[in-house]
Amino acid sequence: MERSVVDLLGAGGSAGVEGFRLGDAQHWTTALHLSPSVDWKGERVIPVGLDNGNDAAKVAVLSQDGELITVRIPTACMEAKTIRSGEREPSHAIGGMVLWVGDVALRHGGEELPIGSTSSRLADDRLRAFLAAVLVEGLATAGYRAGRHSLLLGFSIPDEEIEADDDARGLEKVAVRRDTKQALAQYVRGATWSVTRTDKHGHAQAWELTIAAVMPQPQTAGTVLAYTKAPNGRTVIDRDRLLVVNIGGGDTFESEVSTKPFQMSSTRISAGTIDMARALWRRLGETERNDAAAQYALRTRTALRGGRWEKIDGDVEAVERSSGQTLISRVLANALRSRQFVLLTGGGIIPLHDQITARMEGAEPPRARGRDYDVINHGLSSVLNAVGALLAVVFAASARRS
Amino acid sequence: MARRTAQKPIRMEAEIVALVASLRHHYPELSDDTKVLDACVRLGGLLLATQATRPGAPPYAGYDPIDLAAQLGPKLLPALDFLLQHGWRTALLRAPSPESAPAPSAPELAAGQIDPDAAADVAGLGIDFLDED
Repeated sequence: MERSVVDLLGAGGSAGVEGFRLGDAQHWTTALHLSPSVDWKGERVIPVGLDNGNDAAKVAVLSQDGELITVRIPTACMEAKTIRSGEREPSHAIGGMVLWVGDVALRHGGEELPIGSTSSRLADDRLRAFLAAVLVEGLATAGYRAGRHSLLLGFSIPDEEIEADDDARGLEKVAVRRDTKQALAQYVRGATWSVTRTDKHGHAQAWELTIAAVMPQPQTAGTVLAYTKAPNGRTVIDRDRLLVVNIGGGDTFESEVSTKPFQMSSTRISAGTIDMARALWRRLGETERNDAAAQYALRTRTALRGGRWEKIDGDVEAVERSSGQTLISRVLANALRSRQFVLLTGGGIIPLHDQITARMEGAEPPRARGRDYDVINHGLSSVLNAVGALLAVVFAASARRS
Repeated sequence: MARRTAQKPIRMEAEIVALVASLRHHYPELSDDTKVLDACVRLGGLLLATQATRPGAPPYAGYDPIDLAAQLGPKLLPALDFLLQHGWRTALLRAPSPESAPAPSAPELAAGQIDPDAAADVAGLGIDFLDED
């Protein structure tokens, strides 16, 4: 019996990459046995899944040994400062800017990057520089050497940016929203990003990434593919319909998914964990809004107080009991009424996992995990959309090789 | 459909002439010397194409590498089996001792082993390459 990608990854687990200072990098133990490069219009290109989330960018890439590597870097950056004594921070020089990104930026008081639609975010130079840095980090973590690389980029976009295709003349087709498509064509497709990556020892390496093709896809679709498909693309789930609740940092989407044939429609039902993060930020006495820093505090349960990084477990638990319960009530409202199999996923699962499980199993009638619902595990939920974006690129490219 | 052919007169050493004559007895489907020669040149050409990666010329002599592997594999694998049976093992083919053997691992999936329906399922979810519009 073939197993789904989620089953395989969950069973094997992962190991954190030591010394990764920009966020979280994981090396997944179970090999998916997918080729790390594919043919695209006469050249070998590296398939990459990129989830351009409001709170963090996630990259999924296969090492040259075919092993899955994921990287999650909070969406924050700042101009790199000169460190005159002590250990340096890794930096990225891109388009005349020298940046610290992710957790490094947040530890130094860095700013959040713009949130919102893909088109408005991509118009920001810093956001594009940030994405280029994130892709370099994904490749470097996967063992690729500096130099020129061509990428086939699966690019996750908010579910609401997929809509009915007006040009399809009555057929039930969906397509990427026009403004998103234009922004991806203008800023990403065919782009060449030159990045000089300097590590904490001061060693600089030049990377040049060319985006050979870009494949926009709704974020939740990544989870759907990884949950329903084996690595060879075969559908391994015997359920005809799923209700997927994707609790992200910025937004929560609910998607009705059919597997025979594959179709998906999504609705934004709530904000994501951002409401919890903002409540925590206010509770900590911060007055200047910084969503990325607030999410960082919620995720790491630490905050800078009086010049010291302190644990804030009590504050986080208080927020989980108040804002967290409000969020759970909103996102589970339909799930608790539905007769469909409910799949809960997204980075928002991490702080809410236990309460969600308790609410589902305490419902009337009680919902049983595995029979009525499933929750993507902690380690996988925040990167699964990127893993699915990688799968989508590999599956689609396999059909176009001739 | 008739295959397009062209005449290419060549001189062969006597050893090759004898090899061709000998092969005819073993491969009844190759009914004359011309067909035996054609099969030899084709197989030799495919082998050479795997190393044809000089910059400035079409890589793999113009073959798609996946197609090249698909054409060459069935012809080459019996030859590799033959070499193994007779003690010829490169480092790649040398079997590790049971003590040092890694856990069994499935081979990497080539593009041709991806379920053809997977791409259609991806499209059903509203996913397509941007440059294909």
